[in-house]
Amino acid sequence: MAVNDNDMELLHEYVDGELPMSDCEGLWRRLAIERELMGELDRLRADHAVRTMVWSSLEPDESTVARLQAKVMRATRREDFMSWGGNFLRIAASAAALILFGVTVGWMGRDRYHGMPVVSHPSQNESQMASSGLGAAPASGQFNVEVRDRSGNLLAPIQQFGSLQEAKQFAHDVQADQSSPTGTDWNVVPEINKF
Amino acid sequence: MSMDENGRQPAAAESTNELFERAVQLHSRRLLAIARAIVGNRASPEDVVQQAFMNLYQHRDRYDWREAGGLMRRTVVNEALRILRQPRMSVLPDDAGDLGPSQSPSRHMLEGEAVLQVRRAIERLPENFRAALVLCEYEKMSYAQIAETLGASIPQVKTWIHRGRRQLAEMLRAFADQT
Repeated sequence: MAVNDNDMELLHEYVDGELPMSDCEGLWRRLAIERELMGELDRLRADHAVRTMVWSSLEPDESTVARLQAKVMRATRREDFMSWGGNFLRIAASAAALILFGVTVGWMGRDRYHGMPVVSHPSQNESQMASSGLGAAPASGQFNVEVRDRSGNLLAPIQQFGSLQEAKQFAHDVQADQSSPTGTDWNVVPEINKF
Repeated sequence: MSMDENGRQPAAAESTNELFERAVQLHSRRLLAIARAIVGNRASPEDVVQQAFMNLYQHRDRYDWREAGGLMRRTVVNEALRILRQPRMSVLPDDAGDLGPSQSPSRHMLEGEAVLQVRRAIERLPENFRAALVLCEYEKMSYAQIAETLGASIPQVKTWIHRGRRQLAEMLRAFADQT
């Protein structure tokens, strides 16, 4: 009886140790009585033995293995160095970008510094006024006004007023009288504490 | 704590790099043989294995290196198949006569020709057949493990192995008839 394709697959699975035990028992019974099947199994085993030699012949010698391992270790060190270098470059680039940003912002803001309202009489209320704005100033007391243009040129020296309204009016008047091309700024500082 | 492939208990302080290095030392030989079986003389097995190792090293923190055998085998097989699928392949000098370090000269004389012919026949098999055969017969992997490694189904792996052996038998029968 000829060995068909299904029987061959059965034999392959048996040789590979993949045939379930229940099927193995059936195969053993058939092998005992079917000579062709047994012959095919012997042939498969012989081929398998030759291929085992082939697979063994593919194994490299010690020097090849050592060479590969050395190459891999060198490559991993190179990879580590490149990774470290990449991180270093990223950090350096970020730092450079931050510095450049700071310098740019500073450069752009340099003119604005000259145009800031100037207070010539430091007092303990000066910072409060600067931070809270004129709206927070008290309605009465001593108010100093100094008027400068945006370039920082003095247009009117410090003068004292009794109320915020008077101080503002004075500043507006100076502003209206002057024809400075850079515009005019003014600031009012309440002098609550006498000095 | 789990044991590694060698039954050793890994030291707590052992870094990923140290585990990787140990895995490379442990598996290089067999992986080279697998790569050689799959790529034949169409690429350098050393290059295949090295590239596979480097692919793993670049993402080394993702893997458990205490049992790296299966991972490395899968990566080498995939790398070998990827290289074979590239359109332009250079053919390396045929070293099929080299039967490895462990054989005596007389055995070499007797078996050399048969082994040479089988190796050449294996090189003519389709790449998936070759990969399935080497994993089955050399690595003694189960069909399920081969299927996982090659990203195929178990019936597909069975078919590849079965057809591969049949084609080999036909090629070698033709060789036997010639001689």
